[in-house]
Amino acid sequence: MRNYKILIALLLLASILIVASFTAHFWVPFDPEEMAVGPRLQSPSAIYWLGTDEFGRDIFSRIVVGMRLTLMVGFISVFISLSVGMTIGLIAGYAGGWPEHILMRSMDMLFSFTEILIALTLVAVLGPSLTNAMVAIGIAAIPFYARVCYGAVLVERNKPYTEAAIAIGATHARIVTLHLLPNVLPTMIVVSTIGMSNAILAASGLSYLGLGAQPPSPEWGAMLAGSKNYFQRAPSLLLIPGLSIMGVVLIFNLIGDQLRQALDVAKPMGKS
Amino acid sequence: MTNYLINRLFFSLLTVWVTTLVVCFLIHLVPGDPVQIMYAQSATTTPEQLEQIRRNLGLDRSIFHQYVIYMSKLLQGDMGTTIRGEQPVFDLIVLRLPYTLWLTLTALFIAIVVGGTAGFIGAYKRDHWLDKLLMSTTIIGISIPPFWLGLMLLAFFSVNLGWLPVAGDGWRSLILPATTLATCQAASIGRIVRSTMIDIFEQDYIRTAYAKGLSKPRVLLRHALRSGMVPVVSVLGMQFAYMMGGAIVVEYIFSWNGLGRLAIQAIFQRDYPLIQGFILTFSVVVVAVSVLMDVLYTILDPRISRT
Repeated sequence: MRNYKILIALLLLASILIVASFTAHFWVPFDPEEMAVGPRLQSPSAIYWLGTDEFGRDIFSRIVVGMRLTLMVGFISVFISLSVGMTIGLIAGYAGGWPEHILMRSMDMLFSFTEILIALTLVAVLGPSLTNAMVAIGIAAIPFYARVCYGAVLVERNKPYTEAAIAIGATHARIVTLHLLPNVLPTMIVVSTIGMSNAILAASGLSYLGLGAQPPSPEWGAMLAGSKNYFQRAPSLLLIPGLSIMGVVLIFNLIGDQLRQALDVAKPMGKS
Repeated sequence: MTNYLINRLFFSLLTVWVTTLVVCFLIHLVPGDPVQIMYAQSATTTPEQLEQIRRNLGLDRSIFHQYVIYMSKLLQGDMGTTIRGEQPVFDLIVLRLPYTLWLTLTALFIAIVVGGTAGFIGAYKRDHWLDKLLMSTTIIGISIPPFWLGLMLLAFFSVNLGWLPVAGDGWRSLILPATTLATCQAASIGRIVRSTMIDIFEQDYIRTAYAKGLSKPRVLLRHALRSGMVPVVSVLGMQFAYMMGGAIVVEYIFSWNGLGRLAIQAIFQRDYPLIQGFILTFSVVVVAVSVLMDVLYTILDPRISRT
């Protein structure tokens, strides 16, 4: 019997962070966007737990509210890539023939454009905002999800249970949704968890460049971009948002690793 | 094998062709009037001037016509002129591309050496504390936001210690951006190499090599490492593409005069001819490198004959 302690601890930690950040407005000590709630560039103290930034805003409140943005961006991007990518993968893998050819070849093509180029192109077209960045990142990752799902469907399709379902005359819709889908789901859950990390990294990167969340939003990448000139007077302005991104990404990467072992899923190539 | 390569080449040309389509019609996907958006930041432009610009960009023609004009210009190396400054886009890109390639290839080299060594040691010392330490490092390595790592390195080595320049084009200025870019890829290469080498160490031919009395270094380097590099080479094209993408942010942070920094500025200024040129160049480079890597791979690994 495998030991699930680490996985359970990680999931618990993630749930606490999710609940804490989504209820943030009820309990954080200060309004995250209100300026001059205290003196500028304060060191951490009993009142300002993580200090204040260059506009006298409370960093702790900003970080907690920023976490909600970060997690929301991750969830929605992953939802976009997962729902579209999995549908494409299921159809291509099950149908075979020309649908398979057309769908997977176009996914190969999009894949070779690389995610960052697709995301940048979409942001260039739609204009910079956190919503657009989130959608762009979600769309950009579709080919990856589609490929992984397609690979998993090909494996499941050739197993006896699928043949049996075909033999007893189950409809296509039934085979895909009741037989194939549940069996590719473990793979897709692992991919989505790691995908959450990638989406969060990409979104904070775009926001840092000014192509995602705009000031005064407490999004972590935007916070770093806004405060990068003040780090010599207040190093925590540089350290805290960066460590926060890394912490959240690390948690999802670790959950992905543990889930992979727990669900016994093979490693998808190319990404680790 | 020849068939595979011909197929691969054909698909790459198709990809590049689709890119030209996307790039050419990009301007029509912009919500609102692109010409007005592009010139919103510049000095007074009268409606007549806007009309003139629209004509110059060919936006008054039919879509099919626009594509024909775009392609015939492109094939002569004409990517249009930038909106700010009216410089030829092609010349700008030719000027900046070498910097990006230099940065990307240096980082790739560092990532392969560091990641390869870490993965190899990890596999050899499997479940030893060293392996555990290395693997924990790689998971942190893939979780670090590259732009933050860049900022931290810049703050520490350039601003606080003053050892390395904050910006510039020389080799000393290359050290920090290349390290930043290499870190994340080194971590993921390390993980790939480790799991590959673990498989290889359990293979019969490794046991045979030991059994016939070969020295340990010879078995490890000649027999194990050689076959261990094959999966790395197979993902090298993709790694290069990730790095080209990562270079965009890194160039911006270190004020490195490459293509990526140019692209970010172009997006801010809504300089569509320049954005178009960037997208096209980026995807041509990525596609060309991945074809090259596939050719290399099929030559390097005679065990796999792909048809």
